[in-house]
Amino acid sequence: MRDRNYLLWVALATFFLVLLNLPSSVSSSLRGFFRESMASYQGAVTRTLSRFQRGPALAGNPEEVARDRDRLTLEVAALRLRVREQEVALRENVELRNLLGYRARLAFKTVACEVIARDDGSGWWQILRLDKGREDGILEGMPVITPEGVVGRTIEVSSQTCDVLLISDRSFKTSVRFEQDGSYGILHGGGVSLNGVHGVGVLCLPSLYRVDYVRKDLEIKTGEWVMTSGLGGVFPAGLMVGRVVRMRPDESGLYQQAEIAPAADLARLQRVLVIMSEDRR
Amino acid sequence: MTAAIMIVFLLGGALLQSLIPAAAGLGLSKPPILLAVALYFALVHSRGMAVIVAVLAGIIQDSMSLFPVGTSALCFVVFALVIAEWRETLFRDSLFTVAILGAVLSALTTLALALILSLNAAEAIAPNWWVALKMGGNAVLGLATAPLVWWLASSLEHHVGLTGGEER
Repeated sequence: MRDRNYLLWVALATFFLVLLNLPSSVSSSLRGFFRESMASYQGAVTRTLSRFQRGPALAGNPEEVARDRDRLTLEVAALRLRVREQEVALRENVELRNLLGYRARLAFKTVACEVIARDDGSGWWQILRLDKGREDGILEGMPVITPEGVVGRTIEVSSQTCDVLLISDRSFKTSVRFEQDGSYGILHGGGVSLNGVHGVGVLCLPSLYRVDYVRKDLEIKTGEWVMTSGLGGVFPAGLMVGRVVRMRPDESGLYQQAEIAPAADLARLQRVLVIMSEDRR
Repeated sequence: MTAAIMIVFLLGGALLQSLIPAAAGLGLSKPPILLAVALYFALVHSRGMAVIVAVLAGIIQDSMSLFPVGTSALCFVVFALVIAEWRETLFRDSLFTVAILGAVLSALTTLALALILSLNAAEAIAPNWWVALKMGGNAVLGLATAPLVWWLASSLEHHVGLTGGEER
């Protein structure tokens, strides 16, 4: 009996050794299996709640009005994104003409996705789950945006869903650039505001982002736009991240630190765009 | 039938846990429904069943987050084995005991996961005050969730004619 217990302990220990050291492809498939199993239920609940929340506006044929509204929202989102892109392109065009006459900024090829779940199951990370995955061409590490600004990047992708690590997550980092003088810094997510609004269908209110390693001699004004720099290989240059709220010297005294108010409304995301490539459509 | 109840509670629990928004004021804590399911099986069913449920609950929880697969499962199994060993000395039919166990285990799971994350990450994923807040938040939510899950599961098992509890 004692021997049998001993063997069971060894078997359990071996099982965990194997489980904790699974090759990434196997653990990815395992995650994907559970994610896909729950995705349709998550989508159904999220859509039902969303419909319930906007109920009073759905007089007449609710299904049709809801479909029209969704279609128009996407169209407006795409058009606003294009206008924003053109504004940025225009600004950069002037800069570049003045310098070397580089080619105009590229437009992005995007795919529109619906948010089917907010938060991860553990509450340790700020994650969104989207209703599209590898079958729609989405891969890990793709930028996710709204017309207002950067939302995050895809981290786990299965055939029909993907998870997005939000820009407000504490583990999120990316290179950014200040609009006026073009100086660079490293942006960190600030986590969530403790007293932020939250509830079913509403993600926690993000805290201000932090930008480190900003040159000390630069005079950066409150309200200045911060955008992605294009360095690092994930985000193309020129996507809006947020506006400067305040500047202060960092602890070392060698650099400045900026606090940034998010451009995108991360708390109430329903639809987002995943940037597939920087090729012109 | 026990297996069917186990599957219903694990999948239903996972769905609820992923959909219920995290409480910002409690350090982004979520109701530890999967942990409560593992706790119920550790208190009521055989040790073997407790381990199986703990492993599955942990793997499902890890699949929904960015933890390496098996991390939460390891925590849940350790707790399930300890509970299964000592359950005869606990007032295991008391909701008060279940509530206290839910609170303590939720806080300990949070601490264990924070330690594992800090070992794996190059820099701390969250400041210490945040982890402490999260432990407190999870304890509060565990205090509320564990008795509720225990009551639901035992009522369901009673309803379908499963006595549970006496297996070992």
